[in-house]
Amino acid sequence: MLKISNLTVKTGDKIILEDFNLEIEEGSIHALMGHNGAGKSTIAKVLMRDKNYEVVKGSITLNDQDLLKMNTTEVARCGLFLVGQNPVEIAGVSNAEMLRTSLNDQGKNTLNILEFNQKLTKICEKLEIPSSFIHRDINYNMSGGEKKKNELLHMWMLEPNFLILDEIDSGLDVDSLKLVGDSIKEYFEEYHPTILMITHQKTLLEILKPEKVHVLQNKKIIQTGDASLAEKIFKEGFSGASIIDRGNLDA
Amino acid sequence: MHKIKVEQNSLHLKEEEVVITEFLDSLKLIVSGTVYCAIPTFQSQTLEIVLEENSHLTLEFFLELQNTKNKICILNGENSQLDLHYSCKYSGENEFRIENRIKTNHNRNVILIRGVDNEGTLFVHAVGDILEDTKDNAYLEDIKVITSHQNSIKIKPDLKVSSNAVLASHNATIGPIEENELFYLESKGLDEATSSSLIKDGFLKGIINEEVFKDL
Repeated sequence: MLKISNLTVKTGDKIILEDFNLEIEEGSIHALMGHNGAGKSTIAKVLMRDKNYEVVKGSITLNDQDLLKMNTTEVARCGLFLVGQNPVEIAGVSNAEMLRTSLNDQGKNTLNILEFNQKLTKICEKLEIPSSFIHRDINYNMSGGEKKKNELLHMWMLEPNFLILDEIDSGLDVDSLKLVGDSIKEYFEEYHPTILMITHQKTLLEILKPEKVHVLQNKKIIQTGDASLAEKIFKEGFSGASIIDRGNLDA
Repeated sequence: MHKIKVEQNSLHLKEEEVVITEFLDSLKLIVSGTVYCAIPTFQSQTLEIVLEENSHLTLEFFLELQNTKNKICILNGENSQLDLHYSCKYSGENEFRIENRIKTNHNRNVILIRGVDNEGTLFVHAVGDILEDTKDNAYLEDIKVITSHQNSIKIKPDLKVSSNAVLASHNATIGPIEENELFYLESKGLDEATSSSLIKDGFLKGIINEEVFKDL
């Protein structure tokens, strides 16, 4: 269970989240929605212990482990995995080199180099990307869609148990979006990870079918519901669905 | 690709791919046709490069410098090209001087220098001199160094352009590792030291043919 209690976060002098609370049961899928700039990505970054976000007060525990006492590496080794909106490009560092180093350093690599490459090749086929991606520099000179698929290549190899998908659907065409969604669904069915997805798109919600949908406004979650809440938002908008008081938001 | 140990002060390369594993204190490299040359060690030595007419040299260095004073002098023949990729990790006190006097026409020289500070200092003196009455020449210097200590690196550009018909530029960027790259690798389960090392190595390998140097 991920439990975020009374969390207040700032970056620079600006408070982004205030008394933020969220609980996600192990193996469930939750969606986080809200206007641009509401602080959705901040949650993703704070969970991954990005140093640019300072926790002023509150707590975050994952299965009773205090995430706030961990650094980014430790959180990742706990099984958290972030796919950001625009994954970073790292020239000169190949996917294979990074993945093999990470798995070796965590003592999780049971494959010899041949088996390791065979596993990567199979995942590439599944993601409909050329096997040359294995030795390509991380996200370097890749299109938006290729970057997201490349991140899923990492996911399948590192086998995390908690996915944070920060607008993974942004910049994807219809076919790529379906492929990415289906791949995450397949991963969910095989490994049963917990998923926190941040999205503005209907397609991914339809594929992954979150059990709970949360709406973030004014630095905290103001409403939680089931998938019907997302449907209502898509039909009527945040204001139309009487979820967000526009005047209050602007203030 | 063949490897050679040069025991004389002059070497003529013609339409070949070569790794120069060793050479004396100074070496005059004469280039005809299209040549690829890799140099894995460069220790307080001088290299004089003479590009013959219509030649194209790709010259790559992948170095660990420690207390070195290196010098490269370049002389272009008409319609010649040079791609010089100098990648180094430096410790101790180091100086690198590169001189390029262009007296002929239709040349294109691209000089890329990448450095990673390994608790040392590096002084790069880049002299570019494009003489009057020359035309259609292109000259680019691009220097990038990763260091957290600004005073570990000193770059002195000395670009003198006396011709009106030339494209010439000098660019230098000095700074620490990008925080977002470090965060990204750490978020994949790598620790800070390993992430930092991968990023630095990747940065240095980015301008050279990695496969060639991997075997050395």
